[in-house]
Amino acid sequence: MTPTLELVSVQYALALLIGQDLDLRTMLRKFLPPALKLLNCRSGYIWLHKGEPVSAATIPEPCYSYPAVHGTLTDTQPVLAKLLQPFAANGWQVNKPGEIIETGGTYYHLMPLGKSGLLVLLRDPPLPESHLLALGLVLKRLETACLACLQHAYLEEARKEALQAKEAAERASKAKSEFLAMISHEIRTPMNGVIGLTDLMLYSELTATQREYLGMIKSSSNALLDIINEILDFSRMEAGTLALSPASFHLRPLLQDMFTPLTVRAKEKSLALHWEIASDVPDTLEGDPGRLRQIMINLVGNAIKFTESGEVAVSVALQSSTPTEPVQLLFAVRDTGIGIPPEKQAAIFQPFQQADSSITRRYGGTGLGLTISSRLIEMMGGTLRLESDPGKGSIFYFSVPFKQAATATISTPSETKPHQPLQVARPLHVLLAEDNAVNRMLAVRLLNRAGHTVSVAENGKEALDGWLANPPDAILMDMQMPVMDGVEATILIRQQEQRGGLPRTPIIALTANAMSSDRDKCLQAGMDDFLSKPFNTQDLLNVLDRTCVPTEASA
Amino acid sequence: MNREQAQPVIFVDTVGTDHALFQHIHAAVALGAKSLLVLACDANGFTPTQLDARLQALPIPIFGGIFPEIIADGRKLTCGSVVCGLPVTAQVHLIGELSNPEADYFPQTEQLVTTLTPGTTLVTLVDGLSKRISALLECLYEALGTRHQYVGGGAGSLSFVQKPCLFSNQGLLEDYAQIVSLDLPISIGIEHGWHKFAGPFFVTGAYDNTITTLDYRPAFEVYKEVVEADSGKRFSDTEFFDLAKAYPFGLDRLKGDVVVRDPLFPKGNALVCVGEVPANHIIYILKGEAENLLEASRQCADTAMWGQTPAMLALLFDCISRTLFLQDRFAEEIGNIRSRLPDNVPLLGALSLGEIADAGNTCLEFFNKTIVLGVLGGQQEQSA
Repeated sequence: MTPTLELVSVQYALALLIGQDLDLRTMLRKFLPPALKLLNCRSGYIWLHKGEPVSAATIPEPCYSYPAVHGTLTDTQPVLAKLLQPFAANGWQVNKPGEIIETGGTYYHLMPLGKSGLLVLLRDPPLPESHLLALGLVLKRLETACLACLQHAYLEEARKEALQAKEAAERASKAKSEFLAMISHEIRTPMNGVIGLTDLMLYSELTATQREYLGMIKSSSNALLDIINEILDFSRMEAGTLALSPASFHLRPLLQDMFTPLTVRAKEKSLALHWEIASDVPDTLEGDPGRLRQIMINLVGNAIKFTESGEVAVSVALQSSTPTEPVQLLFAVRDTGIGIPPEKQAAIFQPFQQADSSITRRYGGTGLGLTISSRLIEMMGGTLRLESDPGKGSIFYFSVPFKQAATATISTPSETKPHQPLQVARPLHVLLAEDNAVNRMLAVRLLNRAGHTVSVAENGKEALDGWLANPPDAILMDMQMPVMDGVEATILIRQQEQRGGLPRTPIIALTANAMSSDRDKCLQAGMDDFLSKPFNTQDLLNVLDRTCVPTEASA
Repeated sequence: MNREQAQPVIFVDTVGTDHALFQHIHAAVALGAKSLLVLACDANGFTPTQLDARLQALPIPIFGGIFPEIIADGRKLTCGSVVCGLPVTAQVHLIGELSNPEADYFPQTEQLVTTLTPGTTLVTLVDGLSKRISALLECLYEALGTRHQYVGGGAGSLSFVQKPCLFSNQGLLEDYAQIVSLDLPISIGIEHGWHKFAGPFFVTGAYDNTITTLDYRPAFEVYKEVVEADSGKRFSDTEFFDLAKAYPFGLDRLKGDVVVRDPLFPKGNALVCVGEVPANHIIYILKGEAENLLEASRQCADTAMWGQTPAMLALLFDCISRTLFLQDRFAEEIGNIRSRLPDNVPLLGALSLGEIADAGNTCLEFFNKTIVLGVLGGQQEQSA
């Protein structure tokens, strides 16, 4: 081969050894060993630098070398370290590219990688001048590849740090949400006592002033409970623990039930409340009726709250329907209220935001209601939208899909008797398992007043014993109790019923744990229903009535 | 064997039975050998079932391999074994998965940095039909570099069927490398005697030990054109290796030198070689003359003997394809080497599938069609 061809072929092979890898070590590892073999070298060392002088005593380790350096360069390659010291101290400047220094029969070739690095090759005999110049061009390309790797590493590091910071912020936010959820839950237990005992006192002989004060305590307690419930919902959404509870329901009775108290509020403000469900809207649906009711109460409640005169109108229309696909229902709430300026419309769906702070002062509220409604609608597969004309009114509307349900499986609040008289027609023997003395006393009083007989247990073990000794018509079972919790007690009861061929005693979970996961846990353990605290008297009586279906003998 | 003499003990069996092999192994152990080097012929037909239990029961380290043929003190054996009881304790390290395309051997070779004493000789034996021998050697040199000297070769069968071929205390091993540290000095000679005949060609396509294209044309097509034209024979009616053994490839190194690569067999239009061929490198087709090859054996022995006194044992890794090429004259190659060694220095060796050595002024390489002679000196520290 002619010297020219040899030169070109070496340059060609070396240039193609510079790969596309973005990891510096991988890239250099694919380049240096084959390059050394091709050039018949003994070893090679690569440093990357910024042209800054290095103190004579501390030549840094090369960023890559073949073979590897184990330990410091001074210890493992003292000749090389000593030879490099004057160059490193002088900002890594070599006298000329391809400077060759002979020490102890070995030739050290000092080849700059542009302005960013240095390659030292050990070879005996030394490389010819022409080869050094040919190599110089390749090393400029190697410099570019090295800088690309360094840039990539820097970006990767920055990306990793940003990701870690984001994860830390999310963890902190989640922890805050979990804390709020926990605190809100803890507040619900004493609230149960306050509201229940107020209810109980309202049934007793009172003076007009006492009745008025107790009425105010009750409405204040309910307002506080609404706020706590909103914070709890929002915290669960933020913590990612809120899930929908799908069930079959009847749409019309659900809305009818919901509008009754709202109509009272509208009347108090001399507003007209109209509502219309189009006739082609199917009545039996599958979805989360509780959450749908919550959304509608929020939207209609807001409409009433922010409307001083005129009317609030609610409509439900069928958007699309095919036999195989879910029905798409459009819900719209229109008011003639204060309206929302266009620039504020996006913000009102954000948590803790109202159109302006004067609204908060005038109308109150947590500013969470619309955020919660909006997110619940998203969870249902829709989007809450708004059209508003300041001074004239607003329309909040959303469209969500519902599966059509088979009538037979329907079990909704509408099937209960919401306005039963306090005195029940069918007195039951109820076993109440509750460790909190106030709540136990409250439940006993409410149940006794309604005509039920109550025996009590302070933990799951006592409940199990009580059930064995004198089987009740129903058990109200707290979830969290000392000695034995409600879930374990339920499992044991269900096992014993099965083994002994005993009739199934209805068990209702009665707990401040309002999470849907808790509800699932209860149902899996064999409980029949679930009532979260705080509850009102009517809810308690309804759940008993619903769960204890009269047998032929008792009917 | 006693420490004052510190000489190896050597037993040769020309029958090739496992019974004779273990008789000699036990004899060497009884004489106080501290470790065992065993070289055996492929024709013995040794299998793990035959040997493993007894290898595992040995009280001292054992290493070595099964090669196409072996050299036992100046004689080439096509059948049989040689057992060499060494007066030093060998440190044997094994690295597996030598054909795994995903394997990175560096973490394992890097561990050897703390285990091995710098300055020792590393007898490096590999399953010669593994696909990533050069990758292993690159990692070995990257980790250990110039702290050691290296000598060795590829074991295996000339049938080119990969099978268990390395002796170890775990049994016979396949697709493994064996790094054996001996606390003995060594001097090494490396020569081949082949010369550039056709080319240069650019290796435009290659992976592991397979060349797919040369100058952007199918590799076998290019090779066939050159070899058939020169030899007057045709691959269609001649066994591939019978023709290819005289025409190896040469990887170009700066200033005229080449590293030889033996084409083993065609795979479609590609060529499978002993050892990796890097892409984008210049390659030649080489040709040999018997005289040049025999001259190389003389030079090799001269280089290896230079400065090694007192010599204790000569270890030869001579490519099997050289015997196929030199045929009857191969005895001259062995004679050339034997004659340059002192009479009291035994010559053991293997006719190998690839040779491993560190020339002292370049990086560690995997060679083909090459003679690698290592002359081991006596143990450096001797005290009774």
